[in-house]
Amino acid sequence: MIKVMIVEDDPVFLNRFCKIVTAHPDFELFAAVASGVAARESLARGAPDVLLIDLGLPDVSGTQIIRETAMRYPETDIMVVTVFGDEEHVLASVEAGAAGYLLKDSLPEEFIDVIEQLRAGGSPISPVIARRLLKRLRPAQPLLEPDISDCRRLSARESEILGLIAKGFTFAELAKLLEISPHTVTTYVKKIYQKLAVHSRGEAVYEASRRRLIS
Amino acid sequence: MLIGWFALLSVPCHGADRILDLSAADIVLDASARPPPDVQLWTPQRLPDNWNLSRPGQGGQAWYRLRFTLHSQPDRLYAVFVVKVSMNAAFYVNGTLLGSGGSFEEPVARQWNRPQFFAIPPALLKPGENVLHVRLRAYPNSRGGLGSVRLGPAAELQPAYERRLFVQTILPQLCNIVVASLGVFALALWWRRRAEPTYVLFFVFSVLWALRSTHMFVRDIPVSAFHWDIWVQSSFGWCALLFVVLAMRYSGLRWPRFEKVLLLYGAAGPVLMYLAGPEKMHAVASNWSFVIVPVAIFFEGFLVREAMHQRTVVSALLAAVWALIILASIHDGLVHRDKLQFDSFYLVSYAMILLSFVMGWILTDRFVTALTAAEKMNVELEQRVAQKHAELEQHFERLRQMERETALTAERRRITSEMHDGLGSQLISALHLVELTDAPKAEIAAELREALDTLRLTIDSLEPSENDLLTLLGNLRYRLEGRLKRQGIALDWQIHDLPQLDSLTPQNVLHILRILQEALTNVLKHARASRIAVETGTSGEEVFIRISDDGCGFTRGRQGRGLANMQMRAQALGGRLDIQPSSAGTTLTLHLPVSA
Repeated sequence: MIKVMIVEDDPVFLNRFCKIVTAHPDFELFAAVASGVAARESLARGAPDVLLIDLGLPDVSGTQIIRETAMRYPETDIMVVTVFGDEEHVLASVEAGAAGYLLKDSLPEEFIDVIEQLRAGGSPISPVIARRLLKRLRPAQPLLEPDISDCRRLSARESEILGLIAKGFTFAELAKLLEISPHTVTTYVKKIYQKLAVHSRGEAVYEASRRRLIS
Repeated sequence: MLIGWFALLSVPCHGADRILDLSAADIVLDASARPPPDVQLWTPQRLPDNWNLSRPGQGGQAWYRLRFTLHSQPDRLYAVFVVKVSMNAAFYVNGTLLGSGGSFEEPVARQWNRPQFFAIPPALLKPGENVLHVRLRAYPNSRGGLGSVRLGPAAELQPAYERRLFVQTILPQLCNIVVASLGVFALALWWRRRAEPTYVLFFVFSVLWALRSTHMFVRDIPVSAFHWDIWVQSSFGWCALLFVVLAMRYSGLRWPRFEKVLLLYGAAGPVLMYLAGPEKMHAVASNWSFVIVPVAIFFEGFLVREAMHQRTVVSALLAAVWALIILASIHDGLVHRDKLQFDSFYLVSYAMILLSFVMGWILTDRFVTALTAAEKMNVELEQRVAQKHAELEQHFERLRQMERETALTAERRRITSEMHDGLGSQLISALHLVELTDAPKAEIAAELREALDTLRLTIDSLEPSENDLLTLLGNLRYRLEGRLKRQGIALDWQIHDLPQLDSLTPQNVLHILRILQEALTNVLKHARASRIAVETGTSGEEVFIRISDDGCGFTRGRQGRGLANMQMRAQALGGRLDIQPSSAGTTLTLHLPVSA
């Protein structure tokens, strides 16, 4: 059983998500709450397998909850629920530790697909976000940023995959082109997301040490 | 015999090592280079002997003979010390030359201001009577003569000699260096600040004075004694006049006519002296200088008044030093006119060094004041620059604000028009469907989803595109993937790299996306196709994006407005839209120029 927790302040959506989760035999509703504070209380009791969270909560920012959860429960897959799936929001939440995002108007079957894909180790990614990642995690430029170790950079294969995603190729097409399994592609994407999160944390550390906040 | 007795009287002998003050002598006017024999006509002469008094108008060479008695053979080095000789002298003991001041021929070595000191080896002396011969060369009417002679152990005479040497020769030399340096310093200041001619005047004054004062210690002159004297006498007057002008300028007084008179008077001096000739030159010089004295005294009154008025240390010092110079000049005048001792020396040079210091101080003070003022001005200037800078900054900030506002307005207009044409009309048709009670739910949902897609495309177009058309296409596919999949339509994605397009503004990006969205939704809605191919490529100076399907082609009518819209957008992009319907499907190609 996959334990799913939902944080969403819009009761209509919350209700809809709850219905989808409870209707599915493999899913179990861990918690469904409408505020950041309530989310923290629920998370204090234990870890869900999947956390679905809206960024625009009334009390605490969604990215904050994501950051806390990612630190506390690294095993939990966090997904942002967004209306538009726009670059800015998605990147911010991926940096905080989210593993992907879900459009609010997704049909129930799409909704379930994405959660299952995520549990299987893959993450969804749009071409615009792929291009942005490609830019952010560009392979080593040691002279410019000597502090960021190479393990946080993209490998050649990862760059290639991001480049193709940015051109609109689907995971299936990608797998065929690169002669790997679609599952491997999704794993790659998840790894890249993790790198972005680590990368942004690394930048934060670098920035902090540069400003002598930490020694 | 009588002379010997005199010598005995005037030189009491208390012991071998006493210093003897020899004031009794005999003189003979004789041009020979060796001491004349005793058979010549010697006449007694007391020392000091000032020829101005004893032999007015007389010049030339004379020999003095001084007898002195020693009780025993000295065992120490002896010396003869004479405070003043003029113009030159040589000394002989018992017929042996001790030393000479230099040339006795024209121009005669100038020893007039140098004390004379010559060592006497003990072997030259003997117990009993000894004779000292002094060869003297004098100029007429110029204080020629021989001062009192002292003879004794060298070690005891030397300190007095060295004191005299220091005061009359070395000190003037040092002073000259200092005065000339002050003058050069003033010139350097002027060089950096041309607006102050006073500095040049001070430089001329100092250098003139320094050059002039060399007469106190120069031994060999490059010109005849007559010309040299003209220079020495007139340059003294010039310095006094120059100082008067300087101090007037310093006090802010400008009397050009008075200055001209002083200048003329200064120039007249050497001319008059030259015309007077060697004989009368000194009388003329004396009178010429004397006229300057009332000017100097008048000027002292002026300086005192100025000092009372200004009440500053500098002005008081100036008045005091000038008074000192007048006193020194009077003293020197008295010396010159033989009213004082023959051995006296001139004092005005020493007063003059003080004047130079005060003037140097004044000029430095003025320079520093000017510098301070300049610095203050600099600070003010900097403040003004900073102020202007801030104003400019504000101005630019306003401009930036305006630019931002303009950009915002344009963006707002663009989005509003998009909302109006796209989202708005889609929502209206969805509403229309809802209002039709028998409308199928799926159709309403499809209409709403399409509206949502449009909204997402609009948002995507707001992201910085960085001229990457392929990513935009990719994103369009990503947005529509769900619908394609639901309708079971296979998508053939034949995307090839494209050259960078110059004109991918957010506006143009949205135009392209909306054209392609419209084309794809048309296929989805109406063509009943099973396969859609999207292809990109380059042909000549254009890139193309082609969407082809295997559906039943366009049905004109409802889509008419959509098509017109697409054509309009293509035109706005500077490209063109090519639609070829056929029974086997429809091919839509959007051509875009690479360069704007």
